[in-house]
Amino acid sequence: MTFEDELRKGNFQVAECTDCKKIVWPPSDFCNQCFQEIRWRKCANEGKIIEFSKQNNNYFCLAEFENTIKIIGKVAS
Amino acid sequence: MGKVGIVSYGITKFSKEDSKIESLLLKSTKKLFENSPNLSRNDIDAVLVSTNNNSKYLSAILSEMSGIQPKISHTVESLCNSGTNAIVSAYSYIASGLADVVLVSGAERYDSPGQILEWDNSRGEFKHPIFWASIFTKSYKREFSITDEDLAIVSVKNHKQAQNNPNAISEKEYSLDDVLNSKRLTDDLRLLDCSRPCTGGASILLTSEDFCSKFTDDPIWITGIGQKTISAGFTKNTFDYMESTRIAASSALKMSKHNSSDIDVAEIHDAFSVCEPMALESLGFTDKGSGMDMVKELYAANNFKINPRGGLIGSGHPLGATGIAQTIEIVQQLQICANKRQVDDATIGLVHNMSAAATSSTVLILEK
Repeated sequence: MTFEDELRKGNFQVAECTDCKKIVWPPSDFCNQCFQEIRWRKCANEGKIIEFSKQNNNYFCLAEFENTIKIIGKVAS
Repeated sequence: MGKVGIVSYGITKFSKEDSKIESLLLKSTKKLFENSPNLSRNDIDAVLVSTNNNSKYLSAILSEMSGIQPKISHTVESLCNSGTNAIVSAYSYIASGLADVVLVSGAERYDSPGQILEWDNSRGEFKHPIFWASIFTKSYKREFSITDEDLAIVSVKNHKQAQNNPNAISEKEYSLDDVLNSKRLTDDLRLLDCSRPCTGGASILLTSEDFCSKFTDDPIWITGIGQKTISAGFTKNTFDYMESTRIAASSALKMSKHNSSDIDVAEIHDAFSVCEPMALESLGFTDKGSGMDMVKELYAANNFKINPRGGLIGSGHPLGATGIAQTIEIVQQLQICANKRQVDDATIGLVHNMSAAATSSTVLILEK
């Protein structure tokens, strides 16, 4: 699987280190702290909007999940 | 470690022309040779090309088209600060003794692939630079109670200053209302708040101290270099100041044994309006949140100290050429040959060049 494939299906997955349990973000093949294997797991559904703006009538935002990772995304009305 | 000096340069007009990348590299290199009557092709030990263009082997191609057979020849790419990265590589070759004379040539086409960083999944579908710029702008406005009207002054100032730069893409001045009424790209960004990707080339010649006098009586020394890369992904960033810039400036100033208050003239990486006040603060020219006060004071006093050539907003932003063009501007300022852009008593200058929302920054200190 790839991050993008899962995202297209509506699944927001993150890569977590099998050893130190840190989230590797943006997703990668190995942990960026200890180079151990990663596993894919579902990310928490709820995030916190850190910042937002609007293009035409569509809001986009920078959101934080699990108090760790940030991503830019659409805000659905 | 011996000194490294800048002894010559050549630059093209920045435009929307549909030129081949090879032609752009050659054009500014030809101008550099025309500016250096004592330069022979055999003098050049290394040719470094700075670009985001996808063509390969450009340094060897430029060398062949220029009749140079260098010892060292390769491309340097680091998105928007490729130019100063190439200059730092040239400095390192000279300082290490591997080369005495290095030609650095940067070029980009208006349709550069370097504007979009596909790898960064944390940007979701929002990979165009206008989105990080909107996040930066919104954060900065909120944190320091800055308005769109305040930020528009950056664009007004830099377009105005660009009118004295014959190589700038901008050919007219804009009023505050022009900027505020320009096309709204997002709620926090208007078209005239943006630097424009464009076509252009810029070349510079660096030498060891022993070789400088062959080419010029007026070398400009690189006395400070600072670089920092925080991440590739945008979202590990700070959003209302530039951490990589702060660290790079601190290193460069320490190396040159100067403080930010010693700097007489600076080229700042104003990819978007908000970048100028943020950079001024991160470089230590003013306190956090006071960047716009400084911009307003300079504009009111018609003081060209910051971005005399018009910055990226006024000059245009041919990615791989930008850092070299910024450096050429500071060289001209310190050589007191910047004509109508000349800043009084310029003896110490600074170049700030960054990539991808300041995830990486380079700062150079130049002196007479």
